Amino acid sequence: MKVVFKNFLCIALFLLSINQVHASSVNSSLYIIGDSLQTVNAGKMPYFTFNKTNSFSQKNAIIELNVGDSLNLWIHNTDSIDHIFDIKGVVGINRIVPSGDSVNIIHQFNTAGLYIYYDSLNFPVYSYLGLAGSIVVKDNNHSSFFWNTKEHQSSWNESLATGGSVLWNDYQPDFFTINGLSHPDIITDPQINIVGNVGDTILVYIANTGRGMRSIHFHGYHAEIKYSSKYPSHIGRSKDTFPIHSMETVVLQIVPDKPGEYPVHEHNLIAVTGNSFYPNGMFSITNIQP
Amino acid sequence: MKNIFFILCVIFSSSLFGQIVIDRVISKVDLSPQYELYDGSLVSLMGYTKLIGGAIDLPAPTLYYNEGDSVNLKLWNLSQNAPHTIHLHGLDVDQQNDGVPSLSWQVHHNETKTYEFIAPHPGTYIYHCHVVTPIHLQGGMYGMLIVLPADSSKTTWTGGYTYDKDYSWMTSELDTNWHSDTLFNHEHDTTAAIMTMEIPIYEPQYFLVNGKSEQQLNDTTISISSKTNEVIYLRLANIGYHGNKFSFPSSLNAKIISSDGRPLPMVEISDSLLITPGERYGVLLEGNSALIDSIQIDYFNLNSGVVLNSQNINITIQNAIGIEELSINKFKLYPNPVKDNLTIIFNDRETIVDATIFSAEGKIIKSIKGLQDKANHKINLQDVPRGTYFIQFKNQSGSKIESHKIIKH
Repeated sequence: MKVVFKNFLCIALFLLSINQVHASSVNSSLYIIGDSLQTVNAGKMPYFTFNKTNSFSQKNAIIELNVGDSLNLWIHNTDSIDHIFDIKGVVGINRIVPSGDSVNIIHQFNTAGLYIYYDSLNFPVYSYLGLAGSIVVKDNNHSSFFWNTKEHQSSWNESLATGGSVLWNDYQPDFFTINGLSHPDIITDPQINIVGNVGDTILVYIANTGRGMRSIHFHGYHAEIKYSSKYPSHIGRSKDTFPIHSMETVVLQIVPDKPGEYPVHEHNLIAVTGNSFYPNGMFSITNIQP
Repeated sequence: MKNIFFILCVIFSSSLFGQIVIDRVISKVDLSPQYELYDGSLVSLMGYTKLIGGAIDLPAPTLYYNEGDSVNLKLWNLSQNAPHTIHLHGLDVDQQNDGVPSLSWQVHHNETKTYEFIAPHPGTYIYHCHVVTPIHLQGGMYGMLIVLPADSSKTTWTGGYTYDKDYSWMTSELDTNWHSDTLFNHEHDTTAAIMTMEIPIYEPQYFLVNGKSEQQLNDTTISISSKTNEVIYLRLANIGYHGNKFSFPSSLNAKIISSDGRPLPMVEISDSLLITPGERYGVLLEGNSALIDSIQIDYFNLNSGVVLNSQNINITIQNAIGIEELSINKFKLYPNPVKDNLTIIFNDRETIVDATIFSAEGKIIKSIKGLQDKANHKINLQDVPRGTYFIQFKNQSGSKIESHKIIKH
């Protein structure tokens, strides 16, 4: 009996040590910066993002962690008004970030998945205006791609950024972006365009920080749902088209069985347009080599 | 002896691994409006047909194959102007046969090209044109593709659930402003990798199931008629640009068993189901007692979440031995949902003599006698509160009845 207990203890300590090998403290910073989103037709609209440095990018920062990591995060507010930082699905984060000031958040992530951090000020106003990004918590070293989908009604960005109001039931977006980009600019983002080889295990992390619901269709391959923030019971489903509700996330796994180039796009085909032009919306291409 | 053995081997292998199937669809554009909507309006369509002279139907003809079939699907493009393709949505075919013009080939006017693929997992798929997709798909270039088990048995997949009846519903919407000569004859630069094109605002006026809506949904290929304890397999596909929410009567014990051509790892028991554009689902229904009700489909805007329209499809479950039904083709009932006047048009008015409208609680709201006297009737429901009601028709002797659910807005 003593031997059995000893072995059990050894195994438990070993498993614990494996977990601790990967877990560490990760320091990161996010700067709240207001500027403009440059659209696919070279237009501009007011836009805010969380940036890793004090320099504006129209792509919200993606924070990558391993399971068990403790995130030591500083949020710096460069805007002229206070904002509120929160992480969806994580209790106890909600913090006011005063204008011109910084706050520190420390949180350990013990569950693999994809989390949305966002500004909950006058929700959904500032989240809609761009302030929503993602935290990836990994439990593997597979090849990974990160999408943050969002759509915009350009006239609303102008209105909301100047303190105006809108009727959300009348929402008719005219720009559809992934990581702040629309097709064909999407092709330039290596975190969007899925590349790999036949037999690879590829993970696609998709956060929908827009107001609309997405329906993402993969040509060429079915993918398995590995994580779903809204429907955990859907994990394990093998599909080619994936609904993603507003402010929800999924993690999809593809193991390509053949080489080729295949589109991945929204199947609400209005979302494949930009300023009414097809295919200037959510349209990407997967490239799988033999 | 050797030859007989060889022939037997060939027969055995073909039954095990599928047949070689040669199929053909023709892409066409009908610029003269001829597709009739529920209110009598006519629209022009782009689409696929099986026959050269055949009118374009909505959706295009359903293509059926068996698991393991080696399919040669020819596309003959008889339309003028823009080329067309067939994207085999969900079949995971190779790049060459995927139907995306910039990554494969397209079929120009009067050309024929062949898509080759092995029919994969039994399930529900879609085929549609992938050239300027929003325009060609809204124009009508879509249909269902169903892969049956290798033995064509009434099972959902090999070793899956058995069923008694199956129905296939493909949902979509139609915006008549997109069905114009200008859009159908759009410019096409065949040298461009992807054709760029300006798209109108999408504000559909018609919300469809298998190309039909309102009273047209009484079509016997759409409305469900079954007997108690029969298992109904419902194949659902959404090819529109809006979301669908299906609401099943709880007594039908809906089981969601598959999606996108694959069995679900865990069956979901639910009376409601969301289907977004491009998704497909398999649902089993089984009524244990007689039922007259409807399955409601809400069409909602994916950006705002606002429900734009609801369609109801009647379902009748009869006891194995019961009252004989009237033929539902004998009359039309519209609009449904109704705001003011409910119109009934009889094709065979001698059969039906009276109608009674009941509330959901069984209270009689209105009785109408002498329906056989004229072909058209308008029933004023302005004073009836919003809600769900049932209208029941009877013949002279009362030996035949039929009921329909109506929604008062």
